[in-house]
Amino acid sequence: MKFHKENCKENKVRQSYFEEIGTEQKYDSLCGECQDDILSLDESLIFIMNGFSDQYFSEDLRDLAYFDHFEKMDLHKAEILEKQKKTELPIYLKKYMDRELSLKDEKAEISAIVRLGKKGITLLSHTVSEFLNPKISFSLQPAMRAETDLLTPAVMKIQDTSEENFTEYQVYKENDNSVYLSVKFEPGKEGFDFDQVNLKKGSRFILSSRMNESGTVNFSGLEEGEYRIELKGKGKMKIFDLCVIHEESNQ
Amino acid sequence: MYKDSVSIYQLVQSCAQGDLDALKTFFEIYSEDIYNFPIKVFHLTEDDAGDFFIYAYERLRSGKRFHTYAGKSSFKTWFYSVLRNMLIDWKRTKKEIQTSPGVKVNQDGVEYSSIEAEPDKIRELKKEASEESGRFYEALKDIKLENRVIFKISYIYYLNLNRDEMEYIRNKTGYTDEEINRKVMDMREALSDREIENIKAEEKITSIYRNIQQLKDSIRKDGSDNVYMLGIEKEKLQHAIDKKYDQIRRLQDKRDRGHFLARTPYKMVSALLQIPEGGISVTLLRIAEKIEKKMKELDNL
Repeated sequence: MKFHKENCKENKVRQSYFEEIGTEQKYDSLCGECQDDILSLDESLIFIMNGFSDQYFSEDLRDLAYFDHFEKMDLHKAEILEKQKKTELPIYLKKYMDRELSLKDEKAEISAIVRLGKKGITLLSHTVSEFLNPKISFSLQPAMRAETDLLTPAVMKIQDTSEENFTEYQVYKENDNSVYLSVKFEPGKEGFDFDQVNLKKGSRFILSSRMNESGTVNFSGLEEGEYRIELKGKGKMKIFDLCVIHEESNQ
Repeated sequence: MYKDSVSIYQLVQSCAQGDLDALKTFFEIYSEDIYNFPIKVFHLTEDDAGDFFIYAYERLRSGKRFHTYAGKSSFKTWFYSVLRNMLIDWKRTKKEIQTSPGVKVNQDGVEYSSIEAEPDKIRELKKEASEESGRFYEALKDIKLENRVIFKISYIYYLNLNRDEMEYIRNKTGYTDEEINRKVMDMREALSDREIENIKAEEKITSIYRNIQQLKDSIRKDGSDNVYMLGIEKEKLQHAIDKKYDQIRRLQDKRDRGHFLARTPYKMVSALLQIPEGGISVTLLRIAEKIEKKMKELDNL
């Protein structure tokens, strides 16, 4: 049974939603049920618009006869919106930009930049080599300890598969300020084991650890910064660079 | 310092040569434009805008793209055109997030878990399924052409007319494509100034917070007057509160995208399409209800 407010036009709330601006019923004057009804309409309209937007990018823009027309309309819209207040560039993007512009050393064959925040971790960029053919996948499972949005990754995996060996780097969100890195190495058919992993932050040596029986080595408490992970064994070395950018703090 | 066209041209030319200082300066000035472009023009989320920013940044930082600026058109026109082309490429090449199980098999065929086992919550998975369902897009295609045109013109601030919709308007009204474009541009200019929709967004969010407070007060009151409050009533109230918080999150997301739905005044829609004003709201309501019904069907899967 609905308990409508005095102002709810019980059968006309929906109709009222589409009335001209200024004549439509005030949202605040509606009862909870009618407010839910209005939000349901809102959502339907957003879905429709998102659907048409997707069609625009996937179908309409392939209509070459109208391509220039669409461009003209979009550019006109961009120009008229210039006078509107701009959304500030997020801190993590400023940090990313500053880092990339000041980078002097060559990137390792496999490197990744991750953004760490309250919602989890996201991969900002990575380097991919043809030879190594790494596969990158996200896992939509909850973070081990921190509260996160379940639809946002809390674990990131980078797999490096070559004929010789298989290496997997897993980056977990440990808490709002640090990540946990797990390196898993498996030899291929004729592969060999790396048996030692060195961790550096910047140019500073932090820690060295030997692989355990299952070929795994773990590092916890990695806060914002640049890390180099070196896998060593039998005269060979493999390098993985990990950059952790915190989305808010200026550490 | 870089407001006049000559100095902007010189800056861009330096960037084209890969001058690092010039590139730093360029990004200091224009990084917010890059970030805002997909949000303002295409109503993408801030998360998507962040992904696009990195995509665009990686392609601009070498300086090679700047070679195409000859200084003949306005810099902003050229820049927005470059961003738009990159956005189209980015949308087409954006990889879907792959889900992977938290379990692996080693060489001996023994399973081991690399992530602590946690149950997935069904509600979130169902939400993903309903959002990505192809059947929703079929429902969109079921909307009759004339109704689709009414809808798009009513929300032209967010949408574009495609070929068959332009043809429909041309045949119905006798306007040329240029005339139709001009009228659409005028509508968007009129709508871009409207703050009304943002105010409505804040009113809705404030109202829901007030509802939440009332529900919490109900729980507290019952707790103090009646120590043995039935668990089931408390659970219902808590569920209602959770639902309200969910609504706020969705509203905030829509507000952040600018989706607080700047609608074209019916007088303008009527003038362009040469239809009576009176029937427009009913048409919009019918379309929204049809899609709403489809969304509920998908949610119940």
